[in-house]
Amino acid sequence: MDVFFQSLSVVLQPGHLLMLVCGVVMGLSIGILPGLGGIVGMTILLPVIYGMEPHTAFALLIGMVAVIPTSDTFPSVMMGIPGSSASQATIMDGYPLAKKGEAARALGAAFTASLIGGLFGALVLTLIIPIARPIVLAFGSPELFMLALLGMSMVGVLSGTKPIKGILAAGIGVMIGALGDAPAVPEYRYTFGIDYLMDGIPLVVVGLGLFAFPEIVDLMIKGRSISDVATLGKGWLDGVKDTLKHWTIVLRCSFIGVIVGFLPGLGGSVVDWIAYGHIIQTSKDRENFGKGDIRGVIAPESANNAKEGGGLIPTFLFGIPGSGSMAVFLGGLLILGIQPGPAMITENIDLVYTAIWSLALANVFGAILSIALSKPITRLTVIPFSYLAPFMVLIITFACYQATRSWGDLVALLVMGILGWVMKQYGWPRPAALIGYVLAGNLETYLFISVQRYGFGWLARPGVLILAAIITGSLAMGVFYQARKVSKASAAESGKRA
Amino acid sequence: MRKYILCLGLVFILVASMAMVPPSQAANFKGKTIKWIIPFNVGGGSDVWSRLYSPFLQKYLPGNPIVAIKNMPGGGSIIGGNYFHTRVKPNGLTVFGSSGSTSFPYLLENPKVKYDFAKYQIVFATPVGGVCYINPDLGVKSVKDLKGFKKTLAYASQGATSLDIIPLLAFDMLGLDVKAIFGYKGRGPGRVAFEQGEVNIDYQTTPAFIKNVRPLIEQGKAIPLMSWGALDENGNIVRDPVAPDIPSMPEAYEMLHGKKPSGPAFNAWKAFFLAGFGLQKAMWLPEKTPKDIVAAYREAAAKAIADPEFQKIVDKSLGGYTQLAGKDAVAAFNQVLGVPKQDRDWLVNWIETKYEIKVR
Amino acid sequence: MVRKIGLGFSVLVTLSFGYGIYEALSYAYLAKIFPLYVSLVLCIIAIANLIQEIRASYRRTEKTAASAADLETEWGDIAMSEVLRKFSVFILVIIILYCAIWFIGYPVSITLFIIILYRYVAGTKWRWAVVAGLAGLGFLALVSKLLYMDWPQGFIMLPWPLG
Repeated sequence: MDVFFQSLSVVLQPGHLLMLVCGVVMGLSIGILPGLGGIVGMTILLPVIYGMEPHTAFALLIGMVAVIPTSDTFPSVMMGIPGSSASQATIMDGYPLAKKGEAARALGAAFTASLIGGLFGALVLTLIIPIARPIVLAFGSPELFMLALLGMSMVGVLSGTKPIKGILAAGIGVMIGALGDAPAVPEYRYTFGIDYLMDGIPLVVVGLGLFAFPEIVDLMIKGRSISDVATLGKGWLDGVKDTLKHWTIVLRCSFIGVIVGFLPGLGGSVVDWIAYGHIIQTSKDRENFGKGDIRGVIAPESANNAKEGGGLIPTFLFGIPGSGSMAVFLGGLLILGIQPGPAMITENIDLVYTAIWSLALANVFGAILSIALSKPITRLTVIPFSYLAPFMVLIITFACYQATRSWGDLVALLVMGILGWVMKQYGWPRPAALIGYVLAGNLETYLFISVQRYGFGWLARPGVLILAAIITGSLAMGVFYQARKVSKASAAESGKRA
Repeated sequence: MRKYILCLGLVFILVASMAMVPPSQAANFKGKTIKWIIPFNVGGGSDVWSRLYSPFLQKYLPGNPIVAIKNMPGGGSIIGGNYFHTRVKPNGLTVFGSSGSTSFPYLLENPKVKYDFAKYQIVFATPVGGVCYINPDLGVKSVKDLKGFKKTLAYASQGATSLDIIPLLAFDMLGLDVKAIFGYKGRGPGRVAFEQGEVNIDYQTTPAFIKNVRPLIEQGKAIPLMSWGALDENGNIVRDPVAPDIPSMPEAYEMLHGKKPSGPAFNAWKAFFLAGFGLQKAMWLPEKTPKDIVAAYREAAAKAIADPEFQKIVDKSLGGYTQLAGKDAVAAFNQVLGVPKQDRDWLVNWIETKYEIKVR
Repeated sequence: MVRKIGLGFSVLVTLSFGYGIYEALSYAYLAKIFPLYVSLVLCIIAIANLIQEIRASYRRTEKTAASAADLETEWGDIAMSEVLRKFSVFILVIIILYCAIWFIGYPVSITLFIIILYRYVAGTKWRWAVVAGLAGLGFLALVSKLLYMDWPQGFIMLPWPLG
């Protein structure tokens, strides 16, 4: 217990706090630009810490990692561009809010949710650390496969009235994800002999291509501004109040975020979709989800900051990154001479606590800074888009090029962009494709390992059965709700006619 | 008169030609930036390795140039290697850092590989070792008990053409029936799988073994079997100096079969072991680099290694292994190249037959 | 025309999954399982979808209804053919941009792109367009210096930060 207070006193030292703030500012400046958040941002910023004194560098590193999911929210809300790590689900309701002129409200709600979610997550983590190891160990490959499948089942929730197109879109995403090197064998799939495709298409390119590109085109065609409404509506304070009103959602989703973020290698990709899907399924009035329901912003945002904290656990305790940005964070730790592993729980537990609470504090700074920035930035939603478009093209081509620094990135961006635009016009849900893409690798790998190791016996494992029940339950609820909606609509129809 | 002019002309030509030959200078990089290509991502093992070395190289290279790391990940490091081979000029301003995953496709003659280590000049190499351990529930208390061991074991593998060739071939040579479960993304997940009971035999690099597996051994959850070993000055594989209490692979072989290992399997294993562990990470200069530049680099590397500050870093982050510079590295690498092609072909055939994949 | 493209896309998707099956058959055993079965299932579903769309286009009852799922634009007062025309123009512009990058490198191309778009699409005066272009160039110079970020280089190499 006194280890905890000891690390807290370290965290509150002015030098440490200063470096945290620096890290937050740096992370925010890069992460705010579409395509440069998440892993890409970490990769760009990491070299800065080389050669620095370990304690200062550690605080800087944590500051940068903490603010990544926060900074991703700006492009998500402002233009519906999913971040490369966390704020993917936020686009579903955040962007429609921006189009209604309520960008500031969405941002305010998102950042408050991030702040509270992050703090609550840190609290849960602190309490859970003693039993962290057994929990992580309980999730073997079969369980992780089921979890990925749970993430995929969110596609059903997201497809609304067109489940078939949703499944197909998810399938398109999975095939794009399968492109490139196979997980276990030196075989390159669907590459047509092109070297660039050997590693598959990077997430940045898929995300920006499917979402940013079509949005830029459409906004140019419409010729107005991002917001359909000329003046900005509710402000960030309203967003804050919204979050506080829905505090149960914040706590619930933050809890989900920590637990799922815990799980090595998988947590990062699914958690915000799971939170978003969960909130839809547990709400009675779902009419407005996807059209600008503030709860659709609060849920994923609470989860994704908590997940970053959760991701520290496998990173520190097992030396296995909990998500993409954690992988880069891990590299940073190694540079600083910190060797993560099971020994950390006995030898360096203070470091783990320091990290958790530094992360929480950095979350707070990040959220406050972001709220301060949201007012001026949301003004961008009302200026005519033709002023923004050229810079958007600059940023997305530049960001995509950072993925592999080859021409393939630019070409792939154009191809994905055209695909994304066509999908948008003809009703193929792109979020489903994104989920499919993100989860493809994990689905294949874990299924593979499970079948190789256990034949088909893994289907009977308790963890697998529990997760299967959750998946079936959520799908059933979705179908049931849909049926009820249809019967209500037809009842109203016949009521009208009568 | 004509003779006089002829003589003068000859002298003039002689003097002029001497002036054209540049005076031979020692290499000096003052004011320059050296580009160190690392074909891996930021934060990965090789990236960390290069960044630990670079400040010391900056210190000891003549002229104290800046050593900047240029990450070029892709194709499992093949893309960076190909770039180094086709585009880099031999002026000493660009160097290449390779790891096991770069040298293995080269040794296996992967058609996508354009680079050729036999043509480059090695500057220094960082060895690492590996230690193998097993689940105690199988009733095995040490490697001797594996004699006649019949049960099928499960091993978490990244792929049959990865560094896992070393453990998989070693298990085969020792007569163990090991089912390789493919798809794991590294030795970290492999260790977690071991702790979960998903697999029951595993290996870790020696530093990871000491930090993460020794505690498990103390808790009775793992039994150490053998290390791969390390190369001594005479080119033999002896016990790993960082884990001296654990027998090396050749020793284990002898314990189980009664004779020292030999033959194409062992030759191939030894070559790949050297490439993948004995010289796991190495720095290279391109093919036609002038001798004085190569010498300057090797000397700088030797000085860096001798620096006590750097020794601390080696102990803390690089496993404490003796780094190889200059001719030691050359000699070790020549051992890798010296393995006859037929033994390498034997290995390729073994992989293709046993795991039903096409290597070439 | 519009309906045809939508249908055409569905056909393309179905064909792609078909190709996915075909291509997957040639892979090594371990690498083929996942793509093969996924493609197979999806191909069947894609065919079902195609049939449904063809029938709907004959009945003409289905509007391209916006679902809660996608961030679809409702074009309202702009005709779809106009939308397609403008889309093609945009793609063309991007391709021209790429060609420019190929020849003279990224910074100059993107600066010119910004300037031209500001002048001709946003309708500002030349000097503001140039200011915007220089702002873009400045951003590139800043991140390249501080964070060692790269950009594509063209045939004609210009001195930093123009190439």
